[in-house]
Amino acid sequence: MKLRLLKEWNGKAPGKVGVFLSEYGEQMVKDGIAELLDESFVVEQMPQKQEVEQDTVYIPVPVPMSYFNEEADEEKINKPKNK
Amino acid sequence: MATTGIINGTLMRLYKDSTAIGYATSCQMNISAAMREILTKDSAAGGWREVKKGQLSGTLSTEALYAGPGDSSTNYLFDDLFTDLISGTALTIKFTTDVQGDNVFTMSAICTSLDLNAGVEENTSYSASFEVTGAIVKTVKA
Repeated sequence: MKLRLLKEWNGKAPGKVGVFLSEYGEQMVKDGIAELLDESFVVEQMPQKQEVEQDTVYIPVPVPMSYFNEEADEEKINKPKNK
Repeated sequence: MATTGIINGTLMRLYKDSTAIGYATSCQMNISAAMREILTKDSAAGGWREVKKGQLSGTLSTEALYAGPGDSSTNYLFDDLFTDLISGTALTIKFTTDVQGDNVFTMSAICTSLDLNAGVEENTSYSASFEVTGAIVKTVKA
């Protein structure tokens, strides 16, 4: 369970938040040492690693020299050559 | 109510006494039994190794993100483990989901190593290892 300290506890200042075993945490709440924040809380929110998006990589495709000779006629790229 | 099915590892935590070891990303408990060889000239095993159980032992380890004294957490952190390692204090550790009906592994353990890692543009993290002294007791959380 997640608790916030109301009084100093084990050298930790009031206001600090932590995760405790439920039995012990309940006793701390009863004793007025801490207040309950979340009864079923187990794992704290951890800093997330920043995701870096990969830039698009363009891979040059080799083409025959004849392509550049007839560059204006781009339709030829997709059409099979007529023999 | 006990957790049904396979337990999500995120929920299994190491607690020092009743305080969670903070910012943990993984926890491991290892229990092993050393074997003692009992092969003698009188054995009927035809030269094959024969063993019986010897000493039982246990280790714990955890990996966690590092936070210094400025952290606003009451959890058990690197600084606390550092003090324990220097002093050699035996800690009461529980490994559990803290869910009613689930197992609680309780043991006394001494922190034997701390590795602090700080990579450029990475989270500072550490790993801690513990040697169990005495028995590991398995109970069910009431």
